[in-house]
Formats: sequence, C-alpha cells, structure tokens
Amino acid sequence: MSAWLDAGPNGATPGASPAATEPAVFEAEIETVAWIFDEVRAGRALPVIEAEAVVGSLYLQQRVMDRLRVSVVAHDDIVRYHATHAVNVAMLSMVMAEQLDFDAASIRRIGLAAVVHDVGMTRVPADVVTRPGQISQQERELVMAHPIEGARIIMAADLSMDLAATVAFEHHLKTDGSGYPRLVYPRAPHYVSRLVQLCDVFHALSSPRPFRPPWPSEIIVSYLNERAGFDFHPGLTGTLTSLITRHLSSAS
Amino acid sequence: MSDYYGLDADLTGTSWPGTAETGSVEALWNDLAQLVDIQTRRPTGPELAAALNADPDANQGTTRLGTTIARILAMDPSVPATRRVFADVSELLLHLSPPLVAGVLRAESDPLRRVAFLEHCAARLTLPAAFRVAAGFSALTGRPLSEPLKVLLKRMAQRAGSVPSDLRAEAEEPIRATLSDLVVDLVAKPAHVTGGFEPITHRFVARQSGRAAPEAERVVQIAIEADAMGDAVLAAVDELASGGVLPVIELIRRAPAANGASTAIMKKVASPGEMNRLLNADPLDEPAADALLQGLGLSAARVMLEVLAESRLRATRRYLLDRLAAFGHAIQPMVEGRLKDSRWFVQRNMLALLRAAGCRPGNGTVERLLEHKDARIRREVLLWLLENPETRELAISAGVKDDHPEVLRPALHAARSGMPQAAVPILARRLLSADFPPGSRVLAIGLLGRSGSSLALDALFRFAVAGKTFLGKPKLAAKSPEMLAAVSALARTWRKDKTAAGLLAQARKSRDPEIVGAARTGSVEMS
Repeated sequence: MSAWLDAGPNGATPGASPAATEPAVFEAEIETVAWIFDEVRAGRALPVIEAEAVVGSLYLQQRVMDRLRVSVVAHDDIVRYHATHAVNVAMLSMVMAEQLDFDAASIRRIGLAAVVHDVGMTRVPADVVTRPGQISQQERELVMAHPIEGARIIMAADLSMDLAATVAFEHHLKTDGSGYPRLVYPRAPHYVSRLVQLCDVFHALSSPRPFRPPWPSEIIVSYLNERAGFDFHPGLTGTLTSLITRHLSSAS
Repeated sequence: MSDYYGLDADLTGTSWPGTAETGSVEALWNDLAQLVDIQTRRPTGPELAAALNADPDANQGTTRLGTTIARILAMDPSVPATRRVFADVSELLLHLSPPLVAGVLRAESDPLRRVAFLEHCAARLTLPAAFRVAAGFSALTGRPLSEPLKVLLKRMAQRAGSVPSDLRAEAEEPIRATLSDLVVDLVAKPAHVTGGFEPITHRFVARQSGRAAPEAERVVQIAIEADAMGDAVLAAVDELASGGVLPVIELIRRAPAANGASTAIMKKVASPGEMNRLLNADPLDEPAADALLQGLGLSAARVMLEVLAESRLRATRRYLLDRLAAFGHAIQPMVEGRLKDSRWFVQRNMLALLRAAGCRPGNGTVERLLEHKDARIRREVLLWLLENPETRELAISAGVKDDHPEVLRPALHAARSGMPQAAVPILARRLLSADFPPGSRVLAIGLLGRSGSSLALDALFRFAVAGKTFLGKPKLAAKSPEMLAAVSALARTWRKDKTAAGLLAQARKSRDPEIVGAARTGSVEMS
C-alpha cells in the first residue's frame, strides 16, 4: 500500500492524494475519540465498542481506501488535541503493524491500543498540559502518572483490552525498562508498546507545543535514529523512519 | 457521499436471537412461509414480512420464527444458495414490524446461543439488516447506542458503499466486526436483566494469543504495579496459574506492598486445593505458603489440619502448628473435631495446637483424654488443661495419680503454685507406692509439706522416720534427699505436732549441718 503523511490542520492538506482531498477525513473518528475521553473524564467506563469502531473505521480507510495521514491541530484545544493525537498514533501504528506483517486482527488490536494509549491524560487537568511555562513538581508527577491511570481505566473496561492496558502502561518506558512509571518487575516493554511509543513520539514531535514549534519530519527521523537502541526499539525505529523517509521522498 | 445501503433511517429500530443445525436452507425458508400459509410459491423477504405483519396471530409464532431464522443463519455461508436465503432473511428482517422483530430477538433464551445468533446476524445479513438487529437488540437490553457510534457506523457504511464491488466485502468486514463486538457486549452486559436477557459472564475467558498479545505474566505485573483490576487481569491470572499458582504468588510476594489488585489476585488464586499442593511439597516453600495463607485466611485451616495429620515432614508440621496456632480460638471446633482421629500423633498434635492457639477447654470432650492409654496424649492434655484456671485443679489431680513420670512431673511442677486439696490425699497415697518415680519424690514431699493437710503427715513421717529408738521415740531416717525434704516440710508446717516436734528436736541435735538446717528452718527446697 502507499502511505502519505501530511501536517495540515486536521489533516486537510490539499493535493496530497486524491483520497486526501475529501475534507476532514478523520472528523468522525476524532469526534468519537473526543467523546470517549469525555466519557472517561466524566468518570464513566471506557467505551470500548466506540473505540473499536474508530479502529474499524481507520482500518477500513487504511486497508481498503488506502489512506494514511498524520494530522495536527492547535494545542489550545486540549481535548481535540488528545483525540487527534490518538487517531493519528493509531493510524500510524496500524500502518507499521501492517508493514511488520501482523495479521488483520492484530493490526486492529494494535490500533485499539494506540487509540487509548493516552487515556490516562484525562486525569490530568487541561491547564497543566496547555500552560506555556514550567509546571510544578506536583503537576509533573500527575502527568507522569498518566500511564498508571490509563492502565487502570483500560483494565477495568473489558477482557479484550489487555494489550491496550499494556501499551498505556508501558509507552513511556525505554528499551531497558527505565523511564516511567517505575517498574516493580524490571522488564523490557512489550514489542507493541515500543511500536506505539515510536508513533506517539513521532506525532508528538510533529505537533506544536506551547513551549516549542513542531519539528520538521527530517529532524524527527534524525532524532529517532539517534536514540534507537536506547530510548527506542532499533528495528521498529528503522521501520518507522523508512516509512517517513519514503513519504518525504515521494512528496518531494 | 453515497448512501449505498440506505442507512439513514436505520440504527433506531428493532432486533433478535439465534443458532442453527443442519437441514435444507430452502426447506427452512418454506417453514417460514408456512407460518402464514403461503404455499403457492416461494415468497420474497418483503412478501413474507408483509404477510407476517398482517397476521394477528403472528406474535404467538415469533419463537418459531426466530429459531428458524437462527437455523438459517447458522448454515454454511460458502454455499451460494444459502447466501441467497441470507439475503432473503435480511429483507424479511428489514420489513418485519418492530414488535415481531422484538419477538424474534427474544426467541432464543439461552445466552450463549443468542450470542451465536447475533454474531451470525452481524456476519451474514446485509449491513442494513445487521444494523437493525444491533439497534433492536440495544433497545431490548436497555443499552442505547451512543450517538458517536451511530455516526461512525454510518460513515463507515458510506465509505464501504463507495468502494468498488470487488472490495466491498473487505470494506464491510470492520463494520461487521464492530457490530459483532457490539451485540456480544450487549448480551454480556445488558443494562437490565428482564425478559430473559441474563448477562453472561463465563464465555469470554480465552485470552488472545500471538505476537500482539501481552504475556499473562506481564498483564498481572502491570495490574499489581498500577493497582488495576478487571476481566483482562483475571483472565491473565487464570492463564498464569494454569500450571500452578506459584508464579502468581511469586509476583505478589515481590510487590513492595499489598494493594487492591494484589489482594484481589491473591483471592482469585488462593484455594484450599492449591494450599494442599503447596503444603505437600518437599521442601516446603514457607514464604509461598504464607502468601497463599494470607489470601485464604481461615478457609485454609481445614486443609492445613489435614496436612498436619498426614505429613511426614517435621518442618512442615512445625510450620503448620505455628501458623494454625496464629488463628487462635477460631480453629478450636475444627481441631477438636480432629481429636477423633485414633492415631496418637494426630491427637497429640491437635492438643498441642489447642494449647498453642490459646484455646480454652470447656465442653468436657478433651478432659476425657486424661484417661487415654497413651501417656503422650495424657501429657499433652494435661499441659493444656494446666494452662487454664478452670481446669487446672482437675489436671493436677489427674496428673499426680498418673504413673508415667512425663505426666506426673508437669502436674507436680504446676502444683508448686497451688496444690488443690483434692489432690493431697491422692499424692500422699501415690508417694508411698513403690512405682512412684524416684526423681519426683522430693518435689512431691515438698508439696505435701506445704499443703498443711494431716493426710500428708503420714507420708512425711514415712520418709523422715526409720523405726523407733530404744525408748520408743521415732528415730530419724538415714540422711537422703527425701529424708531432708520430709524434715524440712515438718519444720515448716508441723512444728506443733507432738511427733513432728520430737523428731525435729532430734534432727536439730544432729551433727550433720544439712539435717540441722532442714530441722531449724525448713531450708530444703523443692526441686
């Protein structure tokens, strides 16, 4: 399949491909994820069926309609940012999973894990994430607890969510198990956690933050390659950077 | 975007149940036609629906309607003729009135068969019909579909409808998968359980496997690390414990502190059977057993008592006695029940346990064992009874007449802090018997001396006196520990007794300072 990544607001980059000209391709998915996060923020159970439907829809577009894009929204709308981030990380993770020859069911499970990997951030007050200045130690601890909160939210949701809970818990761990949260049982993160982590980092770096502009894709590729083997799984880093590089060369 | 499936009016309506067996799919379709006496030609789905909708008695036949539809949908979808009837059924369901559709959905009362039927609906009906089933079932189970889900499903259907026909099945697949997940979830967790819609809780127990599946151990580790619980954790615990609970217990042991998740996990794996397996291991893994015991609590006591009775390993028995004793009074009925076991070592261990657990004897069942033919049992009962004020006197009285030194000795030692009057004549009599253990005589003499009972006096004279002098006065016996103890006892308690006074006067004139000391001050200590 061919894949392209664009960085226009909400994925609406004209001319990237015929399919991408359709306006707001991921709007329904992003809205659904935003609603999912709202439900969790309101203290209700994680709506798993809706999350699965998002993944099904992305899968349909990726596999059948041959669409991929990474879209970015302004950071002042934190709910929408989280939802957009989730959808894009999911899409990218599924593309990677396909390239790595995962079967269809596994691709969707990986997509599901990616959609909810940051659901623990719903426990962090919005102003902590959007504030341009430094955050306090207490606020930092709150942010660093989001993998734990995410695992709790997801584990409570459904039997089928073990991979999603694993990814939510482990997506800030480094190759040697360092990073956060601190592990009681030292171990390397699961392969899928490392896959989603890469996509998470890629999308985060390509997004504008209150304290920095978005990184150009070339710089992100360089950074990922530099940290491969330390922060990131080397093989997976190669897969992602190849994907991005291919896109960059085809776009030019 | 095109509305290939014409879904705009859907996702609001009705739905149904199912499963299947074998049989001709056409015959089954004819069965449906006969429900409304259509016999002249094969009806289409809408025709059959119209006839059923118009039939005032159709509501009574919805069970047959539903089960027949379920049987059709369970048939092999690879056969083209079957797929055609699937399409007919789809049309039928789309045109059937909402009450009849609801009746169809209620037809299958068994939750697992209903799940199978709903999965078939999601996979084999046309998408509009599958949507109607999902929406209808959602209404019946009291769990309305969320608006975002409806929007997304419609959007997915629009997209699937826009792809070339050769890709449509592939495009529909994620939609059908979502519908299938949806209906299964509705069956598993209905908002209400009326109308036969009981939740099912035991179907979804198999964990996924493959590269994308986290290992069971990892899931349990995360559960403990994050203090997270849910069905996913329970399934992982099941898998991890499938070959024995030790791997799970090991994880819990390694956790720095207990939390809600580790406690819940322990409760799940902690079973008396597992405890039995652990306790019969050689060598015993004490930390693992302790961890399991923590999860089981008192419910482990029965199996622990069984192992205590049977184990040949001293370390295991020692461990069990220690841990069982920690239960305190709560285990007394169970332990007393075990006293019926005729094996002496079992009875001894149970008595030792009652004592160590601080239980109080009271109902008379245990006291009977003071008459047991085995001195090891009598001793253990005695030790226990001696520790309780209510039974202490009974125990001393029983102990002082016991002919076994190991039973007698603790009774005598206990009597040093108070000799019951009832025991004095018994001890006085026993002391004079030839089989009284020599090693306990001095102690017994001292106890009798302290008692002040005249019944004791004769016994003391027997050890202090050896015949009479030429003048007919009592003659001091040759010096011995027993003689000194008796003289000492007389000096302490019977100075005013005429015979004793004469004897003590003789003793004070002795050239042996020990005898003089005993006569003057009662200085011989009991030992």
